[in-house]
Amino acid sequence: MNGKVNIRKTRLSSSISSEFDSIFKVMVVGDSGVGKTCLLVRYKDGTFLGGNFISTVGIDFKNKTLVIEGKKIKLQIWDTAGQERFRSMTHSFFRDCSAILLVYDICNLQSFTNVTNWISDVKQYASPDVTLVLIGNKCDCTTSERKVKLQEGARLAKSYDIVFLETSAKTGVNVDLAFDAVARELHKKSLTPADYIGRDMSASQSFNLKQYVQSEKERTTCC
Amino acid sequence: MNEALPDDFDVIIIGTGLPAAVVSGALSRVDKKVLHLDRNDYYGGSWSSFNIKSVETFLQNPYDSAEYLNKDGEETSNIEVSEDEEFVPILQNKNFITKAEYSCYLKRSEKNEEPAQSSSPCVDTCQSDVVEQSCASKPDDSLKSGETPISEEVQKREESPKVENCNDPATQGDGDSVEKEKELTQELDKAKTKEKVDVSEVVKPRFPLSEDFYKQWRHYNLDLSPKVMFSRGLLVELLIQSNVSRYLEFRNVTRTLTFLDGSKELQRVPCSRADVFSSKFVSVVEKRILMRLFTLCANYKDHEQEYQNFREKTFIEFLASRRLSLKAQHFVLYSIAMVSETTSTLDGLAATHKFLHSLGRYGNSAFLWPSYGVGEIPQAFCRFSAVFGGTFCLRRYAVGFIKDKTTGRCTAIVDNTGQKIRCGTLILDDLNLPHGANTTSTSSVDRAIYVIDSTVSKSDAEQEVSLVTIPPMCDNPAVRLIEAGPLCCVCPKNNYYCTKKNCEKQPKKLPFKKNVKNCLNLDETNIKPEVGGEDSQSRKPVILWSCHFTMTDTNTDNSTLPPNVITLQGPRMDLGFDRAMNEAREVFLRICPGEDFLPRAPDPEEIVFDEGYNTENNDTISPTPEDGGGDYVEEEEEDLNEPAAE
Ligand SMILES: Cc1cc2nc3c(=O)[nH]c(=O)nc-3n(C[C@H](O)[C@H](O)[C@H](O)COP(=O)(O)OP(=O)(O)OC[C@H]3O[C@@H](n4cnc5c(N)ncnc54)[C@H](O)[C@@H]3O)c2cc1C
Ligand SMILES: Nc1nc2c(ncn2[C@@H]2O[C@H](COP(=O)(O)OP(=O)(O)O)[C@@H](O)[C@H]2O)c(=O)[nH]1
Ligand SMILES: [Mg+2]
Repeated sequence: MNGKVNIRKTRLSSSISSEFDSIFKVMVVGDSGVGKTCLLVRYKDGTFLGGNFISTVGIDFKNKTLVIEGKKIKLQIWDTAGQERFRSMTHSFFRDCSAILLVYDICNLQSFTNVTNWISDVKQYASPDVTLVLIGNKCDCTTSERKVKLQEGARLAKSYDIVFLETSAKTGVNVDLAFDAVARELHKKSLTPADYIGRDMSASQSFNLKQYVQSEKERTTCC
Repeated sequence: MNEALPDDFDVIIIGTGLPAAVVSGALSRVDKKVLHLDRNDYYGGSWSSFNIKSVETFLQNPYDSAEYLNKDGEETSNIEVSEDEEFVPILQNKNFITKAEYSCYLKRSEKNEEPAQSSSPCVDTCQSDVVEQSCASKPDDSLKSGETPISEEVQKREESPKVENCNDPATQGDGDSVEKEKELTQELDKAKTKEKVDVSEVVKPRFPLSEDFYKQWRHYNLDLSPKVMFSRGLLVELLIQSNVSRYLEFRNVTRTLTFLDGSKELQRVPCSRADVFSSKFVSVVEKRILMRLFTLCANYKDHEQEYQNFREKTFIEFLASRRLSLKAQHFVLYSIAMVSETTSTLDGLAATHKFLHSLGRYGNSAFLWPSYGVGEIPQAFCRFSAVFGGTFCLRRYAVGFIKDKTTGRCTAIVDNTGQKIRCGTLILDDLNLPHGANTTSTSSVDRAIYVIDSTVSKSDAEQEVSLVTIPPMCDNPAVRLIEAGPLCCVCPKNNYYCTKKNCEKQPKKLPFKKNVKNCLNLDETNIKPEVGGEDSQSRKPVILWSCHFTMTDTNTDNSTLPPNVITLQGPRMDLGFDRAMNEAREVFLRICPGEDFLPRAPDPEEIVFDEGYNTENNDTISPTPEDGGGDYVEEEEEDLNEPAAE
């Protein structure tokens, strides 16, 4: 028995074959209060949780299964559980991650400045081939509330060569797109030459995360 | 980053060692307001796992290595307390790691060529943690005589141009992103060419250069306190019951090896019924005798008459009376019960029972090994605590606490930024000592970690995780070693799991270096840059990197402390986690008498938000599922090879 031992036989991996084809761990990181938990809840449950009650509910991770090219892809999306508040993340959670959504709040300049710190954490603890996406959240906010311009976010993302988009957990703008695009990218990365045999996978092969996001995203305010 | 913390908590916990983490999770789970601090910038305290870079940094200076620490909290003098209060400093335990040293025996390149190729032998690396058990409190003596020859040895090497003490080679730095592709490919290649490894070891340049070795730094997870989990031990039960298991992965310990007197090689200990039957080392008669013994031990409480006359005698006498050969006695005593010659019959039976009870739950093995090391376990419990509302802050600690002179109770702590934070109860892990409390060093363990280039004992299986026991010999105490190799990912479909894990490790309790090296045939002297020859020398595992340190357990006498200040113990030398789990439960029950200890956390599917939820009705949302509403199903157990089955 050299396999991993699943001490709860009823849990995920026992049912991999029937329930889904692949599972990917995705993390949502960024400063406290930028809307990470709201994004997660919006994506999974299609709702927006206002006010501060959300911090009283222990959200650990959420599962969402999508079908891409006939394959069932399960995203297991992990919240920071509030440990980011004092920059005290348990680093082991970065390790297995296939993708990381790095979120800042467009109304909070500090959260944008701290993106650099988060990127250095990601570089240090996550796998080098992790898929990274930069997200400016709360784009429903008014022009006067906005502190970080769309172009500034785009420029920063470009300097790290990562994909960028603005979202709103409140209105739902671009939230599904952000996660779906990640799922597509992870699906593409996971394909092996064997997967191409006898199938037309050209769509996957040519999938480009940046172009996809570019073409699908809804325009956000004050561009 | 010195943001102020909230300033009122039910419980403040200082230090994130395993028992502290478990208590934290248990308290948060039942809605206690918990603040959990740690002075380090990592979790786990004396239970941490480190990669090669961080372990070297740690061993160079286990204390105060981080720049963010104020010039050690000695600004305690200007803490303001009122007339009827007393300030009690909390000190860092600076005795817990001593005699630390490490060496890399690999050669550095003169010209920076061919790094990709020469790094491949690293793939075959595995590590051993060697733990010496200096019985009871005689560490000083034994250390002294033992240390001298060793350090001489190391020094000699330093003079030689071939071996260097590697302090942060500049090369180990970034190259990461460049390397990513390459590493992945190697990972795949490795998986494919698994069987060829032995061959390539001989044909290719045998050893990586030190630069290439350090490039893999992040793939190591070396434990300060290596332990294995009994498959039916308290930790496993708790992980299952609470759902904390969702954060962890495990491997089976696939074999138990031992070193028989007079033998040159490690031998596989037959543990299960299947093992006994297939073992070449046990005669047919012995097989029957052993089997009868296992059957008895599995139910020993119901068969008192069988050992009635040995209640006052030692376990080994009892074993001899069962007509076990010396070899079989050895197997049972040292590798199954894992006790000593002086252990009483009842204790020996209980230990054997515990082993047999765990055997077969998850495959033909009594133990599980946490993937990525023991350091994952405290992190998992801390995460659990955070999910249930615990507030976590690393790089923060208590310089002291405030004691109310009239009630004699602790009312608050003062953290290293000077903030006063009120608490109902204060818990300190083994690395934080309240000033003035009576502390004694209870035991001391010598540990070594070896990164070796191949397994200590080859077998047919692709990869083994081994527990090696070396009995006491020549006045040397017994030694335990855990060896784990680069367990490759068995589920390539989910690259979720395909993190590169060059190595896991193996703890071992053992007298000192040479003994281990002798027994295991380890040798760091035959590191040569040349292509390895086919001679017998090249079959020996070679040490590429090693470290040694002594870990001392401190016991704090709680009687002089306020009743609401609780101290926790360190990892000790036990093989498993039962003691730590019992301690955590006791502390939890002391704070929350009668409450549930780590009840099941809901699965994510059970927490659903819909449009109806908003700020006003948050009472209706609870992370706790309705009673009986969960779909928790008792885990099914795998096909059991348990000898006790009948
Ligand atoms: C299972 C096993 C098999 C062994 N087989 C052999 C063998 O085949 N041949 C052989 O020569 N030795 C054998 N030994 C003994 C062992 O090799 C020696 O104890 C070792 O060489 C000591 O060297 P060290 O520097 O690593 O000691 P350390 O590991 O540092 O010390 C271990 C203990 O041995 C004591 N010790 C160390 N050196 C000496 C010394 N010179 N005299 C007395 N006590 C000392 C120390 O005080 C300490 O308590 C065996 C030991 C064990 C446990
Ligand atoms: N206007 C607006 N507010 C948001 C949005 N997302 C989150 N918020 C609010 O921001 C606050 C913090 O959100 P939360 O998800 O808890 O942040 P986290 O700390 O990153 O998990 C809450 O009060 C949310 O209601 C958004 O897209 N638009
Ligand atoms: Mg949150």
